[in-house]
Amino acid sequence: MPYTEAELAEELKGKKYEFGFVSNFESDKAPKGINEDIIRLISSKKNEPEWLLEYRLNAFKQWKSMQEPEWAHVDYPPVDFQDIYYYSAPKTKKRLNSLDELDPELKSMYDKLGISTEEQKRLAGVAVDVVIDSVSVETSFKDKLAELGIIFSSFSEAVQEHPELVRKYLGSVIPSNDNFYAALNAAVFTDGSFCYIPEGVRCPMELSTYFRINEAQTGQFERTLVVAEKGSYVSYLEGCTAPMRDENQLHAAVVELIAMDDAEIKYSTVQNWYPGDEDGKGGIYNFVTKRGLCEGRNSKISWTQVETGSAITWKYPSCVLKGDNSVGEFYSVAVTNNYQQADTGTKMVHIGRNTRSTIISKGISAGRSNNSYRGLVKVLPKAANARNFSQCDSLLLGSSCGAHTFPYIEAQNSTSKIEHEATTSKIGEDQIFYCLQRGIDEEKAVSLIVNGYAKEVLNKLPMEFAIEAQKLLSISLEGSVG
Amino acid sequence: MSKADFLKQFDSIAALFPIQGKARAAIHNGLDFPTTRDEYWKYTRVAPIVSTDYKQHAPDLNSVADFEIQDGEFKTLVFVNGVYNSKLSDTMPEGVEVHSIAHASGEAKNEMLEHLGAYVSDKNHAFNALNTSYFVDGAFIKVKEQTEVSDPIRILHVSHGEKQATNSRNLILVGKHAQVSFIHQFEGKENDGAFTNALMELVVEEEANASYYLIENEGEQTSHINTTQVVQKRSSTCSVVTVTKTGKLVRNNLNFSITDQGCESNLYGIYFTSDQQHIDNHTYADHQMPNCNSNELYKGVMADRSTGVFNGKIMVHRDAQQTNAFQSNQNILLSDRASVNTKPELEIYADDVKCSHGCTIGQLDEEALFYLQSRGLGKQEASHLLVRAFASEVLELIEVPELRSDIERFVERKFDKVDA
Repeated sequence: MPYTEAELAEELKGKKYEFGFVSNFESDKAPKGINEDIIRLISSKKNEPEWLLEYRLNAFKQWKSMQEPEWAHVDYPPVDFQDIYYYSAPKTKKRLNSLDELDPELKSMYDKLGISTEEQKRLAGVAVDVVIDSVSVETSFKDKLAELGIIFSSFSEAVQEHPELVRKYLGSVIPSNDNFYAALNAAVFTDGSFCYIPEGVRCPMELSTYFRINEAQTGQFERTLVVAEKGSYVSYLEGCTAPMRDENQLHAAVVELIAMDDAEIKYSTVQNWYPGDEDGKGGIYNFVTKRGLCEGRNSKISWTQVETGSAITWKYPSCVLKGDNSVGEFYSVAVTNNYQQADTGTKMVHIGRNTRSTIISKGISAGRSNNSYRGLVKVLPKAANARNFSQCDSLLLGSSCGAHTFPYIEAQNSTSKIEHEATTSKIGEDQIFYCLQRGIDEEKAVSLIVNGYAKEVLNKLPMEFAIEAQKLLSISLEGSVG
Repeated sequence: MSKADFLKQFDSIAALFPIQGKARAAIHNGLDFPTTRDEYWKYTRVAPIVSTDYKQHAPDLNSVADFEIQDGEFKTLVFVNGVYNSKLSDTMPEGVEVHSIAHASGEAKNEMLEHLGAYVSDKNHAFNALNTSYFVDGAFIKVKEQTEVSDPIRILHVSHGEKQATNSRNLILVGKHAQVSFIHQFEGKENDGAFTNALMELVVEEEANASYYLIENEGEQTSHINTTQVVQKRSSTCSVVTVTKTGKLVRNNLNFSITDQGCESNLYGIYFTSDQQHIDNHTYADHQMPNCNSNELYKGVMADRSTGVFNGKIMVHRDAQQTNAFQSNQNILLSDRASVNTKPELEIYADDVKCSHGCTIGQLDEEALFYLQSRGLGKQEASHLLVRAFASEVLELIEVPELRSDIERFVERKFDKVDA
């Protein structure tokens, strides 16, 4: 799909946050606040089995005794957890079999999001699960996937239809007491996606979830669980948007990935939650826990993320490399502008022998934003021949922003090799000059250089996402030059 | 042992200056010793240090014997268990004034008090506060403007006696355009279980050039906590080389406060650990003003069950444009029971900067080992040669030849017993 710079320039004209619309379909809300009754209400609305309610209540109990983490390099007023709607669902009267039955309001929202399902069908590439205000409203291509034995459904459906699988894997990578936000999520998560790839199956299409927060004052707490059995492969995409609002909204998701022997999971995220306006008003607090477990031998988990949205990002997609010869990868581009703050990075925990990990992180800060990379590479004594390579580069645009790197490296094995490298600089004046004298104006030149700088990561994205990500980068940095 | 009990053993020490009284109040009320829950002390457990019943031995001059650096012709100041001894000390070259902190008087005392404690913070740093509270003596050295001192000045600290606890406090002022180097040598004798908590404030005035070599060699069974605070003025140059030879638990805090333009700062160090040693180096390069350069290189080799820790932070403030700050940390693990924890940090608020850090953890190059073995060297010999080559990058930066040879000999001997 060729996409020329001229087209990009055309699109960028006067472009701000383009997903800042609010859709007015009716929604079903539980009262504000969090307590055991709300959790019971959520659980009963979802018609959940007893063990899941127990799991939630237990997590809630743990959450109450936990402290909000303060170690991240971000600064924000305390969140009032009692001032949030924990359950809000678009009212759907019945289960839908085809798109034509869809609420027209909902459908037009999809169109605005650029994920019109028809188009997706035509492209025949992506199966989409759409999650709005934490309730999954629709999953496409389900039947086609089912033929291969792949389960791809909303989390609540999976709870009903495959409770044994959900029970087995839920919380197995991220226990409910892992951290403050993971515990909160475990207590009140309302929906999300569930994906199970059976042994030896290579998922023929990209699976995709779109998350959207629509209601005011709601928190979104979705839960994603991807299980890849022996020898299987899946590529999973995740996109996020939210309307423009003056208030801060909370998003605390949990994503768990499990890869068995010889399995591979590729998980890509384009995160474009509403980042707040130019004065730092509003925006999403994005406090997400993501972790993949390479359980089996020769398994591989690869995280790719493009983070352009959110007022605050607090997110560390990690890999636990338990199986021998397993591989973990983390490719990230994080862009912050205006008053955005991002504290993001990864953890690579080497447990098995001959495990390898790669970390490529590109931070771009503009305006008055702060962008931090925080990462951990840990090699345990048994992880013979572990190998890690990390590279964290930061690019500064403007003199009021900050770029920070906090890597932790802990090695306990004498046959492991670990390399870490980080650089911080601004765009070279000679690079800009070169573009200028070739007739490319400064704003375009910056966009060109930034895209080149992030290429290493963007290349890892599936194509549809790569184009979107490129556009996002340019939009996010709009007005940061000069 | 509770904090109160630990502090009680020092309370008989008389306070010499008002700052000591203040620090005592702070440390008795509220200010606690760090635990591994504190980010800054995450990898170093100091509980064994602060739960020991120490002793205060009277200085024994016979303990100062064979601590010479071979072939070195240095002007030496001698401190025994923290107390200055003028008989054993040499006369200083012209332009260098030396006072014992405890006995400085008149104008020198006034000047000293102006600087003492002005650059380090006791707040949130319990070991700094402990030092301020209970130091008995130390060196106050003033190098006058325009003075060029050709031979290095050696400050020899000897700790002797079992479980000797010493709080050593030092202050060096290097005047404008002066050029000088210092060897701060910590030695020990019959001092198993000893603990030294040393604090140095080093002020380098405009266009001055100072080198400071910190050599820690108090003995296998000792603990040492060292804080070196460097303050640099306009266009000054300062290099600090930290070499930890012995010590069971050693923690070095090296802070550079770069307060004006045109400064050059160098931070170098080696930590070669064996047995159950734990050596922790924390460095902080604080770039407050534009047009400064800092270079940092720390190398470590860990054998047996030892642990190495490195935490290097580069802070570039909003005004510090055109900063070049480079940091490199390289580690070799020789044993599966050895470990290393490293955390190179960058915190940058200015855009027109070039900053980088690199960090590696690995082992001796197998091909190089094979090459040497094929040339007839034993495996042990070959690995020693490679370790020496690894160290040489830092050793070459030591500009005092006698000291360099001394440390080369230390590196050669260090892993004799270790089966690499």
